[in-house]
Amino acid sequence: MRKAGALLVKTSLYLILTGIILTSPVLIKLAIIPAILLIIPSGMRVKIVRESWDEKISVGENLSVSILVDLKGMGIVRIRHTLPEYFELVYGSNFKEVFVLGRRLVKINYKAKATKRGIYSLNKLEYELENFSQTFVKRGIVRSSVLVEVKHKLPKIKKVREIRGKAKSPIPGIDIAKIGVPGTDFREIREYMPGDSIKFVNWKATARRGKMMVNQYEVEGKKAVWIFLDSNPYMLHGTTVKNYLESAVEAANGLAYYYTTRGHKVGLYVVGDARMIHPDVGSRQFKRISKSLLEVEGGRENIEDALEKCKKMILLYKPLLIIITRAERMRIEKILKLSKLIPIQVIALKGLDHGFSGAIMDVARRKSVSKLRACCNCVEFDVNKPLAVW
Amino acid sequence: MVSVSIKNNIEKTEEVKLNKRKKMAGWKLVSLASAELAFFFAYLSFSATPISSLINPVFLIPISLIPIFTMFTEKNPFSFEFFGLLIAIIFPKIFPSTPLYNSFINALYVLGFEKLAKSIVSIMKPQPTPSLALIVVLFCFAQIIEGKKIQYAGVAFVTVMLAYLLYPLFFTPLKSTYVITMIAVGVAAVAFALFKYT
Repeated sequence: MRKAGALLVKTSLYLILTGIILTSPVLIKLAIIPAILLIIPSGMRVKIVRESWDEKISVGENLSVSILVDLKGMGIVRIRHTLPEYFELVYGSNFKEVFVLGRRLVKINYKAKATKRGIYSLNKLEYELENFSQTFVKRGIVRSSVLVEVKHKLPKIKKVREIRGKAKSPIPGIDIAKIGVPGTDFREIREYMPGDSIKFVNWKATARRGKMMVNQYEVEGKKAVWIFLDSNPYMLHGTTVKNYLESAVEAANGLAYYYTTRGHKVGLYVVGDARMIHPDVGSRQFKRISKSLLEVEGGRENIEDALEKCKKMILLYKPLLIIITRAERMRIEKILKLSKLIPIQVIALKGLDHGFSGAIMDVARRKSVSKLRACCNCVEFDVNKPLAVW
Repeated sequence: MVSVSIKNNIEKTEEVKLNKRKKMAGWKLVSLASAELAFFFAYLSFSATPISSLINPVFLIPISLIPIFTMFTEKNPFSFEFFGLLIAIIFPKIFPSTPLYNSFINALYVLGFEKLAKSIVSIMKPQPTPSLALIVVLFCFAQIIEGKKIQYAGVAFVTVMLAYLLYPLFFTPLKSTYVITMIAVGVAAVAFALFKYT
């Protein structure tokens, strides 16, 4: 019951009480007026007739939503299509207040700007119903099916530059995959091993050597690329819209697209979320990675532990390891060891540290970067600049 | 970047507050008008009573300033206290038509205060009180529109007027219900007595 309703009850009781004390029938009769206002009924059936929205948008783009609501009943209705906190209303309104007597169709049209990537469910249509005397309020929720995917815009990376350093070039453009489907290019003759197909047996060599020999062919496909995305709490430095994690996700998405379109096997490991996608090829793999990146929220995990966890797979695929992190937070020792086995590229994020503390972090980052450049490829990425420029 | 967003938030909050104040002003004016109208009815009622020859109704006029002062606070100009005050002003008109007043006058007669009883009757005569219902209606109206958009004042007014027109209709069913209940209770009592004692 609202404040007005409570006050009407109070008035009614006051008139009855005064009427009883003064033995006044007039006052007792007048106590009915506020009581009538309290018993005025209200009822409403709220139904979504039609809804349309943009299912997939990029960060910074506007989401257009249009909902047609059918209202049957009587009373004053307030409808609100609840927006997640990372959406900014730019056009129209997600709120409507109407007076209904019988039936009325209400259209909610608005545009909201998405400021953060993620999968958002805009499935709550809240309504508040008041009777004509505006003394009672009833609240309810109607579920709609609005589901929106907000992705980072795909940067048009034409070429991933390499930095001159002591390390050997890790760019996998010309490298070939270690495991995969055997092709037609002959590599060598080797001894038969359990699991080898009978069609690869080289009978002449077998007769000559006196033991089973098989032909080994080069496997199809290019070298695998494994992206390690750091999502530890220190990556959340910045605002909710612009922080290291968001930039890292954008970079990972762009690199995954770059390498999958060029036929590489691409895998992903989110350090912190412990989310792993094994290397694979094709646009479906990119979609899988892209969707997984949308769900990255962050957590606590050392990069060293993550690398240790994936060591078996890393040694199996021998991929190019791309680690996107803040270099000043890394412990280099593990990377030094691993860089002797596989090519590693570290993308060191910078650009959101300001002031005196920012200067200190800058010095620490430069120190880490110079150390990393001694053993692997390390690129600094200013998050304030567009990814395509990097 | 952060400081800019905080500044924007402060500006937005100020804007929201300003809009809220603008919206508030509408219902407050309507409520004030209702309070003043109710006071006017109460004033007329008081002026029509013989007691007004003893107390000059002009002295009541400063009471009309109460809602104006209340309007400058966050409260409703037509407050419950002001409503109580208006009922008190009409009291000389309500009281003479009550059984309590009649029994009081009779008691004075019986106790030998005939002159006093006659003088009281000459001051407070039973009179019809239509303005009382209007005051109640206006008070209810002022409570309903509190904090609302001015557009809904019309709906609220129509609803309240309907309640005002319909409320006499409630007496008949109440009265008949009362009679039916009494008959039912009487019949039940007779039946119970017959069943038990025969």
